[in-house]
Amino acid sequence: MISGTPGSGKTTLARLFQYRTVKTLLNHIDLASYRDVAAALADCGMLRDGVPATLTCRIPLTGEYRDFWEFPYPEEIRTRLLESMLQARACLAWVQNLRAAGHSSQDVTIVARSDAEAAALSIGVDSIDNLYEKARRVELAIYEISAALLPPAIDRLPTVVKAPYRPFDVIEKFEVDLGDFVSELRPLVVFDDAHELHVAQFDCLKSWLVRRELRVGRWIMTRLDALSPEQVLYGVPSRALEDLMRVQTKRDITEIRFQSNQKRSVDRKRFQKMARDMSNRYISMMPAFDQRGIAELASILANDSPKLPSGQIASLRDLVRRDCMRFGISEHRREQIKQLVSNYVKGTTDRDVGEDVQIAMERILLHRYANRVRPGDLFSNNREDIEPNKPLKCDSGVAHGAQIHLMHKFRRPYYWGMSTLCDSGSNNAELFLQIAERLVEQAEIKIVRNRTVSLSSREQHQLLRGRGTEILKSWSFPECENVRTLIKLISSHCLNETLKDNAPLGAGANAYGILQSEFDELPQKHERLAQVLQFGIAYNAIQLAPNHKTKRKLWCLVELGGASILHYGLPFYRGGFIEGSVGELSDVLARRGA
Amino acid sequence: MRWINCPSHQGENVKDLLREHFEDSDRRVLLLGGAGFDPRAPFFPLELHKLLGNRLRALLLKEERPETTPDLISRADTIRAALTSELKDLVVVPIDILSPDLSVVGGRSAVTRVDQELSSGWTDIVIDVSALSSGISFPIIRCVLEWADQNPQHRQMHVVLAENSIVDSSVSAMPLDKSKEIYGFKGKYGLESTSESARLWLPQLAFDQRDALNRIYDEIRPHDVCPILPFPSRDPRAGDRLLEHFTDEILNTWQVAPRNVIFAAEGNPLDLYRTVLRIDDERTVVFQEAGGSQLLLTPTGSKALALGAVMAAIERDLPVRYVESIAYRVDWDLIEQAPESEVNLLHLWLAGEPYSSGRGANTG
Repeated sequence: MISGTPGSGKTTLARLFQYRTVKTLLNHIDLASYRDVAAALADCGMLRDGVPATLTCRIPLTGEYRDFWEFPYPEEIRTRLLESMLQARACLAWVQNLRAAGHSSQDVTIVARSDAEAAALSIGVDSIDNLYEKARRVELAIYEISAALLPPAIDRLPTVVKAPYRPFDVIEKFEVDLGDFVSELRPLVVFDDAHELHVAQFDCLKSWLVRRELRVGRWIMTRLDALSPEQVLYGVPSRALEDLMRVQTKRDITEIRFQSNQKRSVDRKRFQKMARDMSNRYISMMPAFDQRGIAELASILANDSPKLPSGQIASLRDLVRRDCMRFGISEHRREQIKQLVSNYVKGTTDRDVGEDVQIAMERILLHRYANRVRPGDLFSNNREDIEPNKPLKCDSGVAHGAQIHLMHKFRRPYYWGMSTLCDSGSNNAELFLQIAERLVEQAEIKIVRNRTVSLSSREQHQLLRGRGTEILKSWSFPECENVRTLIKLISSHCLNETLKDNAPLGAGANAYGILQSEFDELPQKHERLAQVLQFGIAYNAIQLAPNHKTKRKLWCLVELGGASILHYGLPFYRGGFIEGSVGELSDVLARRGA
Repeated sequence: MRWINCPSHQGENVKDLLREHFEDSDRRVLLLGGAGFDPRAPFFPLELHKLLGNRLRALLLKEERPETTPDLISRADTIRAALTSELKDLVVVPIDILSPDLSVVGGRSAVTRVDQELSSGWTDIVIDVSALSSGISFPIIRCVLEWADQNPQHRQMHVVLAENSIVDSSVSAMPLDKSKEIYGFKGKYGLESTSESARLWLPQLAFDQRDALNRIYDEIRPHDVCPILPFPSRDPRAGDRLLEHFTDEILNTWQVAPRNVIFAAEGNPLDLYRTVLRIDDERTVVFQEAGGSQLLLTPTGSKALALGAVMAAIERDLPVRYVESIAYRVDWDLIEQAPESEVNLLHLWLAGEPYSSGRGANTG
């Protein structure tokens, strides 16, 4: 069972694994990019000696199946109708895959369980044409029930529907005569979008598919919102799955989460690599870029650090001068602080530490100094000798804080460069593509107008912020209004903290911290909030970082997603958070009328 | 075409027709309509009550959605109180549009409830779609049509609409995150036998439906798209503005060929009805040997045009795809400033005497 957020790649994998797709890939194996994919398929067992090992089909469990749960029949009948329909559709899909791959009926033999002759004949196992025809009749009969305005009474259900139909119990494998040899294909069905089912249906589906009698391979793919709040928020297995795992051996069920449990720095690096690779593949397929010889997205994103115009630099210097006067900071102390900044600049690999950033860094350190001396001391006669109660340090946090301050005070570009673009995706491929799309569009327009393709840091910044706002406004998933309300509250707190003159959190905050012990009780004590958070996580609007250790306490961080960060002008650096409580979040929902 | 000569009336002619038709004291009428916040909800119930008195029973459906705001609830309560004080035989039935897990169940519930009311005791059933969403009105129309067709000489079916473009533009729908077929309008979509068909999508464009329409497009992936624009219409530039609003979709995402735009008269559902059937006829011939053709309809925006779509969908068993709304937001200031003259009445006589007696049908 595979679960993940939208855009995590579940459906892409399901589509890739389909037999017809794999065959198409093998027929064009001379293409360099296809060879990599074929190697990956071989590694995971989908290919064996250069031929497919499975006959895989994908069955999306769209809303139609959910309607079965509303039929006016006992649960047993509704479940049986669902199982029959899924098996019929799987048989149809397998045969369609075989035909699309160019195999004729004569080439394919269906191998059934040796002790199920009668059942085998009833499903049409003697040829794929008969299998197909039988499946088609079952599908049509059940479809007509679901399409009727008023479903027929139980005693009027068609015979073809009432009779047992269990291909999954019967079919062992498909044998395909390839001329030189006979390829054995284990049938595999991937049930995608299982979150569309009713919770009870979902559990019945899992109970059915986990049975050992079934010969075919079967996967279920689902989004996180199909799981309970506990499962989403804590990553625990479902109760039904737990029950099943107690009676089955663990090897019968494998649960895979498309959320990594690795260190976040590892995840980030891996995602950046994947995002760059993915974006380069897209760019290379676009004629406008291909004609200009552009093969990498990074190459159209200018890396030159932005600079404030001289007028604004003068304003910034003036701010610093006034702060010095306000705090009574001596010239000697100020020079020391400048030296700290200068030493940092010499040693850092960060390229965005121009004159404007250095002045802003100096300002942050001045404020930190002012906070670290006793107020009375600043105005004493011995000002030059006052040491702060904690030595000043100039590090990357100060630099990043300076950069973000300059964005808000002077509208200096902050979001630019490939690394920032990758971070905006919040480790989600779909979100990354949605955001990157705007930059690519703009670059394409420039090409068409015969201008320099490169997007300046200012252009990138404006496009990214605009895109973040658009994505935020376009959310239309369940509870999206409440998720927006929570995000607005969290962002407001984060922004207040981030824009403090002394940049206490360095780069700033982009998360809301709740004590882990308090968070653990959330689904029981604040059901409504748990549900809202569940949907926020399921749709990539927010992420959770549990068991984050700070100040000798364990916190669960509710982190903002990339689109929100862009919209509200917050940093991408992870770890900075505002201390909050479950109560505050619940209250804001209650005020909204949730 | 079943409804090629469908009797249809507009404006004051609707009142005249109703007065004349219901003068007959033998007529016993069941009115099916909406009882929510929509200010158009009371118009026909009160109008028919004046004509029919005790011969009228009103079954009004109150669509319940999970994120309804207090202002809508309060307006719905006011309307209900006004109707209750006037109509003697009135039943207001709440219909949950969505189940707790946000699955669309309203259409099924509405049909189940309406079916309980259908009997041979009624001579006429009037469906007032003014304050009903398409997810509810379409299945009801189909259900009642099946009832009427069982005894066409003695069962009349009317559809009425009090259309108000200002009210329509004041109400914004908040869509769900998935589309599906309207209940009872699956039209063989998704079946193996239609999997190879050439799919043509006919979306009716509406300003606040961009996300919903894009969602439907992503999910059905049609081979071609023919958007429907209202022309002629009360606002002569409505079509131009819709084209402008959907420029990106039309030119890029949906790749609509320049000639593939359908102009349908806004106030005359029969225009769209005939156009859809003509397209279906022509495509059936063209794609006969190539897997067949399948038209998919998406009626958003003008309810009058939507009636044309539902008639075509019923006649040819076409799938109708839409995105249900999880809530509505209403600009009451705009509604309250709208003059009464903006209301446009429409009547369609969909089943009964005009089709069984062979007499010529009047359209006026």
